[in-house]
Amino acid sequence: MSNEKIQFDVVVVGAGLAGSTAAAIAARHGLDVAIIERGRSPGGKNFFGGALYTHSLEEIYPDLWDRKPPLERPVTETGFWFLSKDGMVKATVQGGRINNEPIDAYVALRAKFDSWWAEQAEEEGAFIIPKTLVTDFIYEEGQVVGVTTDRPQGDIYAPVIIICEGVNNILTQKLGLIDHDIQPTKAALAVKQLISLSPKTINARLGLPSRKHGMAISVVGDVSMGMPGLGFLYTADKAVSLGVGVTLHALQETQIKPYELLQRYLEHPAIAPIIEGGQLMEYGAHLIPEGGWKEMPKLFTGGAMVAGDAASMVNALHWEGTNMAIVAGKQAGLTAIEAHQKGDFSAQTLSSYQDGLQERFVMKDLRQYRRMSKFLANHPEFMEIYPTFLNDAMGNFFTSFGKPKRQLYKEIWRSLTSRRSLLKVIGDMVSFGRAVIGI
Amino acid sequence: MIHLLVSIKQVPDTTNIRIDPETGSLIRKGVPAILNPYDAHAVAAAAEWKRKLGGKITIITMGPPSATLALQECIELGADRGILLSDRKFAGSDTWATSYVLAEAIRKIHEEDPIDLLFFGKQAIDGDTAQVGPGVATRLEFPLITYATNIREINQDEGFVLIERKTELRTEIIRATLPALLTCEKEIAEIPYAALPDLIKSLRYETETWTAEDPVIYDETKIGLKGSPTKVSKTGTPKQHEPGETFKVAEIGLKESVDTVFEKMISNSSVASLWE
Amino acid sequence: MDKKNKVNREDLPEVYIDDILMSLKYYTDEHEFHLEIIDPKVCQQCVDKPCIDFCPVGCYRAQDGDTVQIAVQSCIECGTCRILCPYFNISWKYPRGGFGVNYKFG
Repeated sequence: MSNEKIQFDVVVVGAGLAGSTAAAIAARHGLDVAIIERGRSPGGKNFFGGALYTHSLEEIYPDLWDRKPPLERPVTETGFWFLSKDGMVKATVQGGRINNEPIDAYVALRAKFDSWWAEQAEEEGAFIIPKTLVTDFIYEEGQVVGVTTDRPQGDIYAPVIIICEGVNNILTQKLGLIDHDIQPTKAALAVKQLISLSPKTINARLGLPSRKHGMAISVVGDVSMGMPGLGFLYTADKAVSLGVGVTLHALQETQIKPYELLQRYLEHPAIAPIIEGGQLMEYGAHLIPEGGWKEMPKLFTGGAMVAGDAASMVNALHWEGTNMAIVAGKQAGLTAIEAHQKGDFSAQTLSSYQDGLQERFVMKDLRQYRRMSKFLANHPEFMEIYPTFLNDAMGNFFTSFGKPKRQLYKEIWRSLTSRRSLLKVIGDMVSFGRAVIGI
Repeated sequence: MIHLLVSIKQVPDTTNIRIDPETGSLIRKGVPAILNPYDAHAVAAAAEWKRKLGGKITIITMGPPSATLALQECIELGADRGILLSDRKFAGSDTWATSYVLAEAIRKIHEEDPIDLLFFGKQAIDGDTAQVGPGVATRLEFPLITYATNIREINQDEGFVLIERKTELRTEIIRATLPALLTCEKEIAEIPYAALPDLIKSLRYETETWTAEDPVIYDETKIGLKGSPTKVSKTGTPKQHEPGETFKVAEIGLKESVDTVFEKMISNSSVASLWE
Repeated sequence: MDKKNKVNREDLPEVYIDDILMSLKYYTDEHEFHLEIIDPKVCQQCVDKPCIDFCPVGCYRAQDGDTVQIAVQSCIECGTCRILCPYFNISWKYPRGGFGVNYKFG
């Protein structure tokens, strides 16, 4: 067996969206790049709701559509469903801008998509090393110069390491880029079932005209039983994804079983008919970093950068994370190229990674929404009272029961104010607005 | 220096096959292909002995171009060379034709670089025939030891091996002259967690492909469908049994479930006779 | 007030998680466990044993009333237990490369 040092120009930890993007960009410029992935193949450990945003995919591969990405349905209808205990109010948008080509978002299944995304990086020249877990770093003179893995003779050297390890950012912590592990209030656990149904059934039950139409729905209200959290529904081609995410803090407080919460959602009278007769294809669960801006680690140090979930790049309100991961991966890849051109891998050179991100929506959005997770944790009424009120109000408004309209409006009003005082309602709206606008 | 050869097969991962609830047939679509598990243990055994004695391991397989992945996995486990026998003319070969194809290829390798010991898995998990290993041994007139569980000794100087094999009643220890052919049980060796240089070597490895004309010229009447006497006259799915009684632990509790099932078993006469 | 009363638990359906886990593909590492309880005595003294509830695949099960056992082979490597164990009594790392859950769809 050879005792040669294993050496690359760039080592990327993790073949998720951030990692394979960073590797593709660096390899495209002729650098010798390795992606180290702990799964059997890229995508095997990756899991989300969810939908991908085409703008970020096209930014990396302008000829995206010629490459035939394994995407599911385009998102032609999106919005909120508000669940009460036994009813639902829908507020979704379809047609118009949503339907303009190119469609803004596509539903995807990550195991399939990420393995394809990694293949694209391979075509650019990146070398994927699967089935290998990165365990620590190798330092020389205070600078990161490589990684250790869990395999015998497993050290790999590179002057730049791009860490895209995912939400459990153990390596980022080891590197001292952040001084604490994830806090229970700053992460959500999402559980999901993928349920197979024929495309015809999906179309009929959800009112979609064809297989070329799909839905991305955030579900608010009864689904989270008053905890800060959301449910969701996405349409794949021949399956629907239904899931629910609640903060770890809420799980801790209530001691409910996540899969029971999910089952309760699936049995909801407005949801059960959608999936009746469907077969469970896959269950899964994943953490979502929701701390956003405030929980971001330092993004670089001498010889290393961090991107994606590991760097808390998720906008919890808009369910955006994949697009940020891709843009950050690209930026890290570009910075690695710059460092190689300069022949300097110090923190000072790598700081242009963060400077580059400041210019993009990634940092701007994360900064703008920095109060959101705290806001939702402190305002459980958004999860329970308002959705229930909405259901009562709509239910009252559209039924007559022979009551005079004036009395009807009073009842609607009372159904809100009996749950929450008017002053509080106004206060809620103001702080919600502030959390969104970011002031 | 020793030369070991392992014959492997890429198979669908049968633990991943689902049954279509409507037709009752197997859904093979999208099922990942893997290295036949028995073969993986055979490669691991060969790698252990290569480490002990020094030498090299050649892997051979017949299959579609995608079987390269299975060969790469063998390189990862410590093999040095992988040969893929791939040709449309081989398609449809039964165990008779397959053992002819493999035997002729092995004969060619053996002429150029004599082989000391040949390893096969006990059987492939897709066909479960356990015929190809014995078929190759017969054609090459090598001693055959099936269901090998342990290699006690490989003695190149005196030209013999000592092999433990498992039978239903006992373990036998067989001495055979080299070159010999083993079909291996999983106990033959643990699958190692490969060193990183071996993994990288496997990822970069490019397989040699042999066709029906090069370097071995095959008799076309003996390969593929033409060379396969096995005729599949009919396939079907066994009738599904009536589902048994279900006791939901979540509903009636663990103790109650176990007690109920236990009582049912005892009250059933065929089981009761076993208890006596 | 008892924390558990914050939501109406009566409202929750009973789920047999092992049935749901049949949908998942794992490559089980027979030689190394990636999750371990650091000090079993700590679990014995832990009154709530929240791990039994918060784990999304039900890895943690009460054993003989006061100890906790881990069914490592069901783990999907989400990290919840590392963060939520009130006594940080779980030694958490990823499985060795190539082992553990392998999502087919994700």
